[in-house]
Amino acid sequence: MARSSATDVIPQLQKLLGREGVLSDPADLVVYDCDGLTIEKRRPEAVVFPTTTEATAEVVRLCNRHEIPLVVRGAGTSLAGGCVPIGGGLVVSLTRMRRILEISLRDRMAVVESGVLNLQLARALAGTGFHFAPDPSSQTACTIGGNVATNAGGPHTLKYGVTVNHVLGIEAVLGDGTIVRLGPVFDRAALDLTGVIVGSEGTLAIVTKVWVRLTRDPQDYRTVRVVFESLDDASAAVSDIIAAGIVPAAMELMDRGILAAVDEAYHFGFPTDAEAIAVIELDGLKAGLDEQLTRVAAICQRHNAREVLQAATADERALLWKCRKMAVGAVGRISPSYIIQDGVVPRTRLPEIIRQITRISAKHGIRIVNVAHAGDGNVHPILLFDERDRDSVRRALAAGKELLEQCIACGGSITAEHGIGIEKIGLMETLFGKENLEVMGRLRDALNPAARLGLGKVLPSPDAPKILETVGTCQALP
Amino acid sequence: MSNGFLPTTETVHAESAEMVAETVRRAGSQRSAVYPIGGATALAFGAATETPGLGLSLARLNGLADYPARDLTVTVGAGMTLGEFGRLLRKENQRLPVDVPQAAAATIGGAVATNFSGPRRFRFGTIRDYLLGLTAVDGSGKIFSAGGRVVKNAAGYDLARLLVGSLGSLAVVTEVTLMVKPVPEASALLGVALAELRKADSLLASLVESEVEPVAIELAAGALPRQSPLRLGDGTAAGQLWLGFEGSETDVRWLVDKAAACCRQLGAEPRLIDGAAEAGELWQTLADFPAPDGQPTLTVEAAVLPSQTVAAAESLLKLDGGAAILCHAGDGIIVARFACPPDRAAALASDAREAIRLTGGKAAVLSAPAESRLDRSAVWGPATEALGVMERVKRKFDPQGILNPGRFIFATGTP
Repeated sequence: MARSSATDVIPQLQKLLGREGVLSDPADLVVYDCDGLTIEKRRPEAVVFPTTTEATAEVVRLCNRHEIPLVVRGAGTSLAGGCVPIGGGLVVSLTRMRRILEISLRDRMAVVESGVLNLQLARALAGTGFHFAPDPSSQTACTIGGNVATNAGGPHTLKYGVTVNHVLGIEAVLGDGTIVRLGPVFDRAALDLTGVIVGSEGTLAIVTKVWVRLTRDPQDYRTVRVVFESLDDASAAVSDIIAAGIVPAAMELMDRGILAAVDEAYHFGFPTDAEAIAVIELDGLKAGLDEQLTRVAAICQRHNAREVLQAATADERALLWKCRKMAVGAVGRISPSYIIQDGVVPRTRLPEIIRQITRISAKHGIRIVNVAHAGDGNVHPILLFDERDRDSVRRALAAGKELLEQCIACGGSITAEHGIGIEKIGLMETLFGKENLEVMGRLRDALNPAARLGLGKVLPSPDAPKILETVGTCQALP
Repeated sequence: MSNGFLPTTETVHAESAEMVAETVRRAGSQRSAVYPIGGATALAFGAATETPGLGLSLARLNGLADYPARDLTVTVGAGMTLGEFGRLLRKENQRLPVDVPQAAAATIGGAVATNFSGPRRFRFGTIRDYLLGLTAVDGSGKIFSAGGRVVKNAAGYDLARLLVGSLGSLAVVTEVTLMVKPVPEASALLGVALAELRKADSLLASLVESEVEPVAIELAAGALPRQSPLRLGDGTAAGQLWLGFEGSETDVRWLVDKAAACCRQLGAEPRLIDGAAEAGELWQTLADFPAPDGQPTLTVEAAVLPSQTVAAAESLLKLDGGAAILCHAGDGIIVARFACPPDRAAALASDAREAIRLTGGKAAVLSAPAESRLDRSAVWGPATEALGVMERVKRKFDPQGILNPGRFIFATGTP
């Protein structure tokens, strides 16, 4: 059977999901054009909202019969175009699967449907003494399913790890419509498919249910902001703290460019002449924290820290974290459009990549401001441009590409937590080489044989548009 | 030549990844099986196989490739022993906090293939949580790399994780990049003897409520060897609960005091082990619990939800009161050792699996006497619904089915 349009199967989809479970009116589809990477858009032919794993599997089987590609979507907060239906077809939104099914403190486990918001789970756990550790900056809006798809991190991955370290099991629909349940009890008589499906950006399976690990809340925090005279000093201090055997809960950097925007938005009162600010959080038992803090402060001072100021109250700590997590949101005040990049290098190469970012900014005439999960060597340069000006777009993309190439040259990778999506497909071969990509392809062939789930994503293929070179090839929008 | 477990006709000692690739290719062209061997400490793990083939030793691939200690990452050959690896890291005051039995001889590649872990799993997870990247040779003799050398990486599929616990059935690992951790300043263990095993349940439940966060929660029960340092009291105890603590001096002192008070409140007088040598020996005993002791033994590993640990341990003891049991209670992992003549192993494994199934868990055989020749279903249990897709993965990585044929869960691919 030849590929059908999703619009041809609307009646069948409605029969499966009810009329309210299918969107196909063009006006309703606009918001599904893109995710947080707004420069690439493609409108889906329809959007469906299954509410059970079985219904999701039925949708996948129907699409297989009609050779219709599908892209799974959570809250759409991803930043690499992972939700854009670049291959056309259907968007499967899991946002109506948002029940927290179980919380068992004794088992340190919560069972949630994929559409549950990260924040929704955090709220449900508040006061229990336990939490779900991954806390990406999009926490207030993103879904657990989305966290699983991108293997999301956040500031606290430095100590607590990324999403895959906190997933005990999944229920998922494979590319052929088969439902598999993996975990939550450790199974030796199995391949670790959970380990590879987490982070596969919906291109191996559609994860519908997740058994997550719960982590004990720390007894106390020491959160400090450290003012540095240069980004170089700040990144060297971060590297020295790790080398000294201290494992802070988080070590975040913001440069002068972003600080100005953040301060304007949230009125924290950062010194306006500071070149860089590090937010360092220590957590754990109250008894040992001050001792650790003294050591951290001493290392910062060795790197010319101007001041090390501790958040005095819980409110001040919350505001400091708001400034860091909502930093990107404040960028709208200083630029009409921006791309938040995601690169990673070995921690000790942090000063080097920061210098490269400065050089690349000057070379392409693109202003770049920086936030970074510095403790992980994970940089998030934010490239400021004007989407209405094609030359500005072209320069921003060229700068982003060069920046990621520099990350590779430093022994790093082109994404630490945002994923490949469609944005970074063009660099996959540079990072891995053809031979290794072929091996990755085998995994997709086994789990998603027709490659219909997430068509055109993660793995390059000859017919996938080369996003970084050719802006706007996806589809001209009305 | 045979080592009792593997029908190997000869053993090739690989000196490089290229030599591994060449050996696998050669075996493929002759449709001969290949049995990768690291430290040969886990040859008893897996189903008995009758397919003759080559032993492929990785022991000489034991070099250090790169150790940027300040980045807390390290790249080594798969044949490096965990003992050697530990010494290397210790020079930088770092470690891999995954407990692999018989670490002096077991290799890193073997640890990836077998996915063994031990007491510290509760706090520190398994080797998968430290594995950043690797190089391996698939069943067609192709060398490939996966992952990278940075601590956080979301690019592409994480094939390194796919190989963890795959028992060498998809590819032969030749080099591994791991994230490592600083050595904690202090370490201590606190033990309480339990008159009845059920008592452990209330202690474990009260831990959830308390602020005490151990790195290990170990419950030992049944017939422990007379000289075992895990034993407490006058030898009449039904079980002993050991809580392991690591961290700064200040943290460990606080935790030990708090935990001790908690135990006393529940009427149990704890014993503290905090001397470096004595604590070291106890950690070692916990880690080496599954290792062979020269007696004919069936060792079963069960996994249940943590809250079912005590019930599961009890059901295994009901099968054989003479069993020795160690539970990593925080994770719901139970290792049970049964003294067992070879001809009883299959039936006992099946009974143990059934007992565990009733507590909602899974069980696999870690080792059995060589002569018992346990088959796939005896070692791994009945096939699950996900086996079909796993077999598809197997065929993609080892189309001729020459890597460790018959030893893991796969029916297909036996040449």
